[in-house]
Amino acid sequence: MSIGVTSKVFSAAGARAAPLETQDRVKLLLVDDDRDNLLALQAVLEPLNQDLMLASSGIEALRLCLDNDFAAILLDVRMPDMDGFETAEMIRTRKRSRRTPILFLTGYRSDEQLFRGYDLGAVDFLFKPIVPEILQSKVVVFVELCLSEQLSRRQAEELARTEQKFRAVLEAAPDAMVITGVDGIIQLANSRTDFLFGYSREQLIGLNITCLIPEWTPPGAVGNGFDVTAPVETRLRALTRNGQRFPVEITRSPFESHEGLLFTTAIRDATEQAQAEERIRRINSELERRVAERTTDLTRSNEALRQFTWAASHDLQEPTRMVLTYAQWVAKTAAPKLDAQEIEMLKCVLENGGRLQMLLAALRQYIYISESGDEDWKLIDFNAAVQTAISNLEGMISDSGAAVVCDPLPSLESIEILIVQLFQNLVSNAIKYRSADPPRVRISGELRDGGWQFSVADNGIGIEPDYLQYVFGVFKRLHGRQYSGTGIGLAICKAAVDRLGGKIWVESTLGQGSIFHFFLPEKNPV
Amino acid sequence: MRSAPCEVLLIEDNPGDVRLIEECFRARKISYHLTHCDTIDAAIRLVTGYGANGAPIPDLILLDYNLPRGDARSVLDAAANNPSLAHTRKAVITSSIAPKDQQDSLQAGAHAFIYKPADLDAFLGTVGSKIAELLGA
Repeated sequence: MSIGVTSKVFSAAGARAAPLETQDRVKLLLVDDDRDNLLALQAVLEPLNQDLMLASSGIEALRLCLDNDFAAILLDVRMPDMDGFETAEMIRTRKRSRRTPILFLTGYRSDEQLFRGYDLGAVDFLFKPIVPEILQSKVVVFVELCLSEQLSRRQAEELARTEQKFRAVLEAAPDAMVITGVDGIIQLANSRTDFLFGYSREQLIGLNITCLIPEWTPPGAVGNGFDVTAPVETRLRALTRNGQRFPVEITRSPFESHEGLLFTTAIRDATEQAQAEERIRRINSELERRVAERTTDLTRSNEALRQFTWAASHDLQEPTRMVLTYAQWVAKTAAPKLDAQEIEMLKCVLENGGRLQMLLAALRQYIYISESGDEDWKLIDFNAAVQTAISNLEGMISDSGAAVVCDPLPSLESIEILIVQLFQNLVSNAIKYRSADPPRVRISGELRDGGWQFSVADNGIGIEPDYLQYVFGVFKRLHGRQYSGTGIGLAICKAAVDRLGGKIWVESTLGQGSIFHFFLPEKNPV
Repeated sequence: MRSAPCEVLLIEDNPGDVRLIEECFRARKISYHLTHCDTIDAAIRLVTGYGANGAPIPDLILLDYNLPRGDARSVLDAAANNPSLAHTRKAVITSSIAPKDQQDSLQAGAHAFIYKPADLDAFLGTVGSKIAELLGA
């Protein structure tokens, strides 16, 4: 059957070329038993830039429908063997092509045909002769419909993939993840949530999150939004379906979705952490208890030792004094009656008694220095303290012919008796361990970082390097009897400096002299 | 020098010190009559009793500060509370170097705080001259 297409129509069709701004192409099936008609249809639709497939019989059309999805099928009604209506009926029975729009091409109008056609799912009828513009316009509608369907399907697929990724992330999270509305109603939860709380996923959806975490609240509003920097909330109690409680920490973050404002709450089981903290707390308190115990023990033993030392030095003092005094008395009254050997023996008693007496006095001094109280802190003129020390040593200085010079010194918050004792012991030490030259002692002070450093330099015998570490020990004497001394003078200096929070040390060159330094941290400098 | 021997109460538990203190009197040729006791309790009884029991009122009370079992200050307090001892000189005698003991003694009414030196001559010299000074001898 002739379509009667004119060349005029062809040129007009050019205006409708490439109507769709997309590179996607759809397939159109053209069915007609007349080869010429098929070619004419093809020529009309070519400008649409779609894939045109041609079939010259119903059978061929059905075969093509098996393997292809068509945006539309243009079907000639009158065909031999299987006419258009029969073909349409068969096309409709196939799932793949059930909804494919079918446009019938027919040579004459008959209501019966129209009813039958529409009954078979025809979307339209085109009457011959075909007007190319009308054919193009109608087909374009179906092409666009198909394309927009394809687009929606792709978007839906993309959305599904995104959703799938999102769920995969959600499922892989080590924490229970719960998405709720502002009202706390759970809209989504991951499998970790099921596991942690003992609800099935279906039970969770629609449940209020406060059933899981009674203390849950939406994140605080900040300005127009929500506080997204809200810190992790720790030490919250969570509740399982069985009513078991366990500690959790949560983070909440708000996000806008097409369903409105939602919150993601990540819930971390903090049981192990809480147990670890509890263990640490127990260990710490056990440690503290042990330290306190040890401190008490030490304090007790220190106090006992202090009392013992104090009592010993005092209680030994009295009998020692008696022995010494009465030995002197005997020496005084009985001397004329004693022979030389007896006098030597008595002298031995006197010497050792004297020495014992001196040691006890020094020991008492040491204890006294170590224990001076905080109330004794006041502003001390160090120049005056040095003068007091020098005048206490007057006899020793003049006997030895020593020259003691002192640079100007500062006034500092300190304890006077300690400072006097320090200078006195250091100067006395400098003179005591003199060389053959007349002793020269120089006292100086220097402002250092955080305090003052004082120095007492002498030109004495010096100290062997190996012995430097011993000089500040109690009863450490490096020398024999040619140098008198209790061996406690420098220990007293160390006790005094310790008491003042400072440090003491010595530099020495054997045969050339020693410099004793002590550093006192600044309290209230003037 | 006074004609009548001066009356002395010595509270001291160390016989060695008693002898030394007596030697201080003898060395300075101060004639004295000594009453001696060696406990705080006995000392308080004696000190409280003066003026009531007819015992001669002492011119000088010498008190060892480090007596066992008790506080030497209680003896000084008892003496201060007895008007019969208004003219009695009181001295604490001790081997303690603690400044606090000295302070406390003077505060409790002692007229002097005498340190016992560890040397015979120093003892006789220091303690002797202090005693003489207190007695106005």
